[in-house]
Amino acid sequence: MPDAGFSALPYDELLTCIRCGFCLPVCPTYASTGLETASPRGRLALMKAAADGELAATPRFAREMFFCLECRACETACPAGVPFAHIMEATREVLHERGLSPATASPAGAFAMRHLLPNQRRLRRAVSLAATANRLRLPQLGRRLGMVPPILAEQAAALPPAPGPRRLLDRYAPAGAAKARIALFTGCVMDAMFPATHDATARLLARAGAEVTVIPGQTCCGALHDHAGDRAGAVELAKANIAALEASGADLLVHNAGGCGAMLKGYGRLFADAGEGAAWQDRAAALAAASRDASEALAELWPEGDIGQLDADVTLQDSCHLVHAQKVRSAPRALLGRVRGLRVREMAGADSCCGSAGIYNLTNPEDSAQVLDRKMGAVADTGANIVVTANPGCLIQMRWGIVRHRLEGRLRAVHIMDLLDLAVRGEHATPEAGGRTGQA
Amino acid sequence: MLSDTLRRRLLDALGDGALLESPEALAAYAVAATPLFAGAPAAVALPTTTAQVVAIVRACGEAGVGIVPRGSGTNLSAGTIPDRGGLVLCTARMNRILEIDAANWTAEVEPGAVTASLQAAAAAQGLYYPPDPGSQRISTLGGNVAENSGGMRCLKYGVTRDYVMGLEVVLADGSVVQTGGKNVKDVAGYDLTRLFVGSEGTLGIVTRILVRLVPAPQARGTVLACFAGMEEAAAASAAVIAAHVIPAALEFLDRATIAAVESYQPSGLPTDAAAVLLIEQDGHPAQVADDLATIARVCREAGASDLRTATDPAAADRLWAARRAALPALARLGPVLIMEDATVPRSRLADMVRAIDAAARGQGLRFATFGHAGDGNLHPTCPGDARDPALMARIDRAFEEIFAAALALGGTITGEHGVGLAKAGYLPWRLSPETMAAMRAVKRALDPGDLFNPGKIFAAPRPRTGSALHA
Ligand SMILES: Cc1cc2nc3c(=O)[nH]c(=O)nc-3n(C[C@H](O)[C@H](O)[C@H](O)COP(=O)(O)OP(=O)(O)OC[C@H]3O[C@@H](n4cnc5c(N)ncnc54)[C@H](O)[C@@H]3O)c2cc1C
Ligand code: SF4
Ligand code: SF4
Repeated sequence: MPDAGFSALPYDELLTCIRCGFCLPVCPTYASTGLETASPRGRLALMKAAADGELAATPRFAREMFFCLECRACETACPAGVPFAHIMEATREVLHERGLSPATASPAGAFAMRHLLPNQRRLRRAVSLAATANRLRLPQLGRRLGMVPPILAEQAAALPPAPGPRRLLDRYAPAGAAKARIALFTGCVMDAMFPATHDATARLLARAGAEVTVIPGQTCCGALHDHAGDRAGAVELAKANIAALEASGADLLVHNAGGCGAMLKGYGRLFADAGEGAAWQDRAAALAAASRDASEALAELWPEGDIGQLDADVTLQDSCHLVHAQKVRSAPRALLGRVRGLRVREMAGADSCCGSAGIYNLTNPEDSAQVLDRKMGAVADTGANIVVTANPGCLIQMRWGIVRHRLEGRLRAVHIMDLLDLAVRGEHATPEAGGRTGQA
Repeated sequence: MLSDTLRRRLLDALGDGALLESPEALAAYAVAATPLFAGAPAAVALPTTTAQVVAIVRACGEAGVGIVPRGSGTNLSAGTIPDRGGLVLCTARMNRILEIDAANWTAEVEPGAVTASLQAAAAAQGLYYPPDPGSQRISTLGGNVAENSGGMRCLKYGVTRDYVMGLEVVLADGSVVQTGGKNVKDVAGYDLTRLFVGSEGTLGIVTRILVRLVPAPQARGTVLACFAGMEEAAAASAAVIAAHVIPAALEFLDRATIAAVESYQPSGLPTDAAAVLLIEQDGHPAQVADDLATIARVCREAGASDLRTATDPAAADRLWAARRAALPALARLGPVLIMEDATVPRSRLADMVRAIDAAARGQGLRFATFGHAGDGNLHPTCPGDARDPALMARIDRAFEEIFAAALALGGTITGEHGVGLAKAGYLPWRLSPETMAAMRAVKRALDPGDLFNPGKIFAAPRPRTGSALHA
């Protein structure tokens, strides 16, 4: 029973895959399984078979599609320029409509998408609640009572402590005349779990000469909705963000979460796909054009010379959506290279996904753990004592890896903006500080 | 669909998760890198040990179910397409590098090991595995052995065949044979190793591979030379060899390829050039410097219009960017890219390029050709679209003329991609009936039940549609 919904898949794009296999060696799920079905080329063959009416929208088909991390490493490797994520998102939209998206089909997932992520106050409260439960060691208790699966207990234990009051100013002024007017994008998870990183980002940008405002009216970027197949939900959030940026009069919209950035930069395409009118498409494209990752903006604005000083061994774990979707590879490396005393050790496969992948680590915990275990091996090989990331999901995942591999005290995960902030403030790296060094 | 008995036997041998029968899995393994070919298997097996391969071979042999061996599925001759169904035996999980023997300069690997990972493991010991198919980051050693794959370094270093010292192979009756070994000299019996190299999965399943390594060259350098005519470029490559320089690579790009590369990723090539040669030399630094000077001089004398030499790796890498961009640039020209590998003795290079252009023009097509000028192995390519049968038929006819022309020039229908299904109809054009019969006799002797990769290599000859070129 072919599924008519699949006839809407972008067929011309499906045909651009020449099946050369160049994407195989970079795909984390292919590396962990050796299965063609779990490779980009295989997934494209499956999606094409679905579009051709040869495969139906079954739970098994959905399971294959949601096994993909959407890390987009395959897009970077592909000689034919296949827009993999775009095709995958169209497929997932069909599965979402059939109630086959693991993120939106479960009541908890649907609730989080609808009510938690778009509402920063509620999300923060949920995060505090989780942190409190953690402090009381409830996950471990639940695990001993057989009520919580071990892998979940492990993940929960890796969540950062409660963030404390949100110490984010409305406006950060530069010392002299503003080189640029920047609106800081705060997002959902980042804001609720790592508010100090926003504060660090804003202070760094201001120090580099920009006027930074935390604009009102902004909300979640919609990436998690889009990955789960809920395109309508994503568009709704995008419209709020577009209106907020327009009202602010800022030149640039700067984000420090690779996943959010990729989504914001892709608003133009989202609106075209969703069939929004020309006016909305233009407004979406304007937001996309104004979007910059914090590392891009900082690398451009920071005056000549060092960016502070820090005595540590660090390795960078690329954010997939920063490196493969936004194609930002050199900016974070350039910034780290400008910190005096910092020893930067390039990790083998730094641009390969850590297994966080949006909410993949929640929907597919076992698969995610497999990818993570390989990654922790690569981190260990560098000998670094700080693993630097550029996305909250990666940060949480790396913290999970640290707990899972019993590396507490020897390795910590730090957002690049927190690390630079630390360097600028001339503090010394102390392993106790945890992931939220901006507050240490 | 597998019978219950066969399924039970395979599951007993393989355990959970290594036998796939879902419609999704079958769809994924129905295709591979060769455009336009597809066919779903009945099941897919992913063994991890030789013993499991033996069990699969025995069970399938008794059930009369054919086995299609598969590595990474990058071959370009439809060699892994299960067009008759059967079981795909994929070696992706037999991918260990078992040993790098620095004393004897050998390496032993499982068949699913990826070529580039062997190269990296060898390099870590200061050794070098030269065969470098363009697919080296993906292709498996098992696939390389079965296709006798070549690469850019063949002129100087030879092809896969020249590095395989020994094999472990599971035969059709389930017996396991070991061929060759670490001895540089060993004439004890028939050279079965060479028989299995290039056998395209039709004679047995390779389960272990012993290869020769060489010391890693200390230095390398590259010359890039542009020419106003294909003749000059061909003359230059002939002159390089006449000057007794054997370059590590001697690649060329034609006008159409240069244009595609420049519009995809400008790398400063003159778009009015008819051909670009990229010539690399490696070895002792003094020898490399000497050879690069000779190469540059010879190219200049042959009329090179633009000459660039790079002696440090980063600069050389920039020169090679144009060659690396050829495939991505051409792949973007249409939904599919048909790429062949007609090959001629290197003295006939210019004739062959002219014949390719004539064949393409005759069908109202534009081909782009690049390839290995040093060994006469050309890659004429043409963008196609499976939704346009008339276009595909014209492309097919053009290639038919190209193969006929290659044969007329003393060349061959395939230099490195193999016969598989895609070239099976052309093989009798290349080989005499007696030679074909001898090959069939080998196949029958080793695989009487046609268990391994049935239908590959051997097929009825493709009728010649009659072209002026091979008259
Ligand atoms: C972009 C691109 C560039 C390429 N460049 C080159 C090049 O420069 N030179 C070149 O020679 N080729 C090239 N190729 C072709 C291809 O990569 C090679 O033929 C390669 O050796 C195939 O390896 P594989 O692991 O993908 O094998 P597969 O494609 O999986 O299999 C190839 C053949 O080997 C058989 N086989 C696989 N494993 C075994 C085994 N263990 N035992 C017995 N039989 C087995 C299969 O049945 C099949 O007939 C290129 C291909 C692509 C897509
Ligand atoms: S690299 Fe691109 S064209 Fe090649 S198989 Fe993967 S997706 Fe298809
Ligand atoms: S997006 Fe990532 S996980 Fe998904 S197919 Fe591409 S490389 Fe593999």
